[in-house]
Amino acid sequence: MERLRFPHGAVFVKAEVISMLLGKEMKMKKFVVLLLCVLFLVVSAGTALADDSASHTVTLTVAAVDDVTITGGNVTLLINSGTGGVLDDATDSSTSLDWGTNQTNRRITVQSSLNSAYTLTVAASAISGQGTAPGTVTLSTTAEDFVTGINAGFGECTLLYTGSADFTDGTGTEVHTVTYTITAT
Amino acid sequence: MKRKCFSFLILWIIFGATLRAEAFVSFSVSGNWMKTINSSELIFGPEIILPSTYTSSSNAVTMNINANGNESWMVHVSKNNSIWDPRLRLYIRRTGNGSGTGTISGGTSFQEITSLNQTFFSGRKKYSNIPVQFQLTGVSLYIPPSSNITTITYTITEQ
Repeated sequence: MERLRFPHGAVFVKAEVISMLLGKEMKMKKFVVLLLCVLFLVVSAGTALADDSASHTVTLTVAAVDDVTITGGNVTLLINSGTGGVLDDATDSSTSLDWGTNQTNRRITVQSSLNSAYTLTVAASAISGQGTAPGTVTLSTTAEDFVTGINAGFGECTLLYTGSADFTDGTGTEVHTVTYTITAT
Repeated sequence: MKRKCFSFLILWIIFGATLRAEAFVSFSVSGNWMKTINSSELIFGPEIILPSTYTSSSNAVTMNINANGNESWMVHVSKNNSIWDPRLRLYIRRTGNGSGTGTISGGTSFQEITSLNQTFFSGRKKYSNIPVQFQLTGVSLYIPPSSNITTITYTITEQ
């Protein structure tokens, strides 16, 4: 007696056995086709039922980031000497300005809290990274461009303050609050 | 005898199919991860920068795997980007086993999620509250302001 074996889903059916069971070759072919179809359905059903899926979202929101920071603290300028009939300028480069943005076409403006009876200027020296400096700015209460052409990234410069006065300006002390603002061009 | 053998064969096939249908593994996922990056994240050092890496809570997402028997299963993960800057990379890991009496292994180190279906972890039997954590890298000031959204799909397959 021939054996029918079904190990691990595979089916081994010897033609002789089928022939013996069904008697006719034609019936055997039909049976084999039927058997294969049923097995296909069994395997397909098992696979489909075994799978499941689920999904969800991850959302990352990057907000507009603009930042400008002064490093180095306050600055004191003292004009107390003259040469050849002209008062000497007082300068300071102890502070620096850093900025960063994730946007394009930004600029940094600078303005003072008061209009000076003397002359107070600031320049961006040793500028690096994003942006270019148009030139020396005479500080007043009107905002002036200090660094322009800033795109996404980081930039920095040294703040070079210069105070100057004439003999005719007299003596006195001014306290300026100097504000740097990063804004759209 | 021939008819009995044939009937047995048909019954075996039908019975086998029934068994396969009952060996059903399914699962559910709950939770989302939303992260907002703004100027409060800035780091002031030699340069002004944004941290490049962000990590979610250790259980930003939890998974429940329902196996009504002794089935072995494998979880795969992939993502489909809706809006996503290509410089951003998303990673996933399993931070715990959750609750279950079977076995669970793999997926405990961060692996990048891509558009390709990749093996996440595998196990056997029912498990619940499997905690999942995400990590995002590639963030910088060069990523423009926007919302980045990706859909993560988990697929479980019975082994």
